[in-house]
Amino acid sequence: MNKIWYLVIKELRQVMRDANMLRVIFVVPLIQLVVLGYAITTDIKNLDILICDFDGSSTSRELIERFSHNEYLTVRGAPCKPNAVEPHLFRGEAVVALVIPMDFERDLVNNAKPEIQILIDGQNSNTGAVALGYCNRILLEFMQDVLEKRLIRTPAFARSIQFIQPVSRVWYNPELKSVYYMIPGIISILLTIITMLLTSLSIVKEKEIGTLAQLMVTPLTSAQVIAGKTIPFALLGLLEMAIAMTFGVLWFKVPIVGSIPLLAMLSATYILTSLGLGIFISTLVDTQQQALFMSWFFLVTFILLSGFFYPIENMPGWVQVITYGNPLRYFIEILRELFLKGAGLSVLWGELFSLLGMGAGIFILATLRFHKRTA
Amino acid sequence: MGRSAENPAALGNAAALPYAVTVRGLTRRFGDFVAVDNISFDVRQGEIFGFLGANGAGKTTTIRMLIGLLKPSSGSGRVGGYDINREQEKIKPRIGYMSQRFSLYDDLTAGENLAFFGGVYGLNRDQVAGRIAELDSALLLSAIADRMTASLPLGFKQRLALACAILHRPPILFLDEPTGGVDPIARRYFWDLISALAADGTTVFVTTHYMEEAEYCHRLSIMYKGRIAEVDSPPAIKKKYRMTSIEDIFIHLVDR
Repeated sequence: MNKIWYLVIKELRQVMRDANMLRVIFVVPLIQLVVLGYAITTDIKNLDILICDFDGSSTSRELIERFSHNEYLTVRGAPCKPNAVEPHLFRGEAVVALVIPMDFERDLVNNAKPEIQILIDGQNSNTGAVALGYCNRILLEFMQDVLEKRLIRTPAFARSIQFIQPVSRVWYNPELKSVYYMIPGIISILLTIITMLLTSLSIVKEKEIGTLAQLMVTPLTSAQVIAGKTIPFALLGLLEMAIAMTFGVLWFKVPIVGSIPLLAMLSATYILTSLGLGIFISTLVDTQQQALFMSWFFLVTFILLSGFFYPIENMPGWVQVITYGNPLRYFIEILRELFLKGAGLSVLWGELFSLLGMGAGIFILATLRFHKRTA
Repeated sequence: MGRSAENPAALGNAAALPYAVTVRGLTRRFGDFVAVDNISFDVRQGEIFGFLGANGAGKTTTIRMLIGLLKPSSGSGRVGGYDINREQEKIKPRIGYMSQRFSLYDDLTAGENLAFFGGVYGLNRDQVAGRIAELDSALLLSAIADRMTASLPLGFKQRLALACAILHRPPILFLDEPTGGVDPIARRYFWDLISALAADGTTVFVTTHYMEEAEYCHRLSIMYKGRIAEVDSPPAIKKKYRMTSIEDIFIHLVDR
């Protein structure tokens, strides 16, 4: 135990003396947190919509009015010539175009199946789908009003027809602020970088300069060397997490509903997995560059398969199965549940055991691979 | 961790053996390349045993097998009485090792490096301080204790590396080209220290390709392409080949 202490002190001393390392650990993540906190948003606002009104009737103008009053859409006028819309979409001046054909009002009055064309730029499928959703909702409301007006002119019994009025309440994040959803995700990624990347780099650096061989000829056991490499970075990781969370709470006003001690405990469990991976990577490579590439590979895979950007439910079945092997998936789940819902262990025990299992597994694997002697 | 088995002072059994190192048929292959080819030799207790050879002759590979950094492909050996194939972890507390490349922490001070390596070998702060005081007259450590290791001149770095390797009083010391790149005066100084250590009973296993350094060794092994071409004391070797300089003999053996 005493010997591990010497290793830990040595490691922390080295980190504290390295100005670059300190910047990487403490300044860079805060910058990332601020920039990403603002940049990564799933709220789709101010979509440009092009409206081509060939009808020019009072009904069509009323419809356009509704589009203008929608906070998510910005209406751009367009010349009403045939085939005039496509070049605008092509040049990216609008994401969506609405074409109201001639005789729209007449067909509506005569029950002659009035039609409206919606053209969507599908390059960004997500934005396209959201834009289509906005348009459909406006059109639906419009049709409902048309219908109501007509029913008024019919005998009294028809007036008793009722439409369903959806009454929705959003829980856990009432304002649907995506920043509340993103900050925990960003924190988890920063933590992964610190623990996995720095651990593997620090071990491989010692391989490169030859001090690892010097350690290997001492009576230290592999487990002691590994403990000496993991404890400092676990401490730094937790410290970093505390700073990032404080920042998230004070700056972005992200609420933390759940228990802080539980959060610390679950984070420590995640850090274990991430550190284990860092050590595992260091046993696979010989240079810091290779360690960086390998860590990058794990990091990108973890992020994309974590549900951070893309919901896991949308992934094909076999990819969903793979995500169960992704520690970041569990950690992001834990952070979001804890931050926003205030979930306790009764909900999160599955994630806890998955992380513990993975952490133990990867640590055992790394320790077995971490030979004091080259075969 | 402070078990007596790890305390070098309690290694009475090993010290009683006539040979500190014995090697039989030691071989190491890297793919098709045979780096060390079936070598055998013995190193006596308290002897300075020189391993002489050109770059790539297999000197470093041999040392790495003896100190438990590299698994031998075949052959056997004992260091301090322990099997290099199976008991390499028991060998480690009993040896000191100074590698070819300077491998202490540049971003720690000299004193911190000493405290760290001392601690890793199970010495507490007071014991390390005591050892530094003992070694001070020869290695002048107190003058550099607070200096960052990176800023030290190479000769000081080498002395510091030696100090780190002998803090725990290892009965056997492995030095892999310890004087590479050091000026002749510092090199002379260094060898005086090695001789003093050997006089105190430490077995020193040293590799070099400086021929004049061969003269400091009690016995020499000349290695060429993974094999041992000659083992004997410098005077005996000179007598055998009827040459006055080890360098001439070396070139004669390598050119053969």
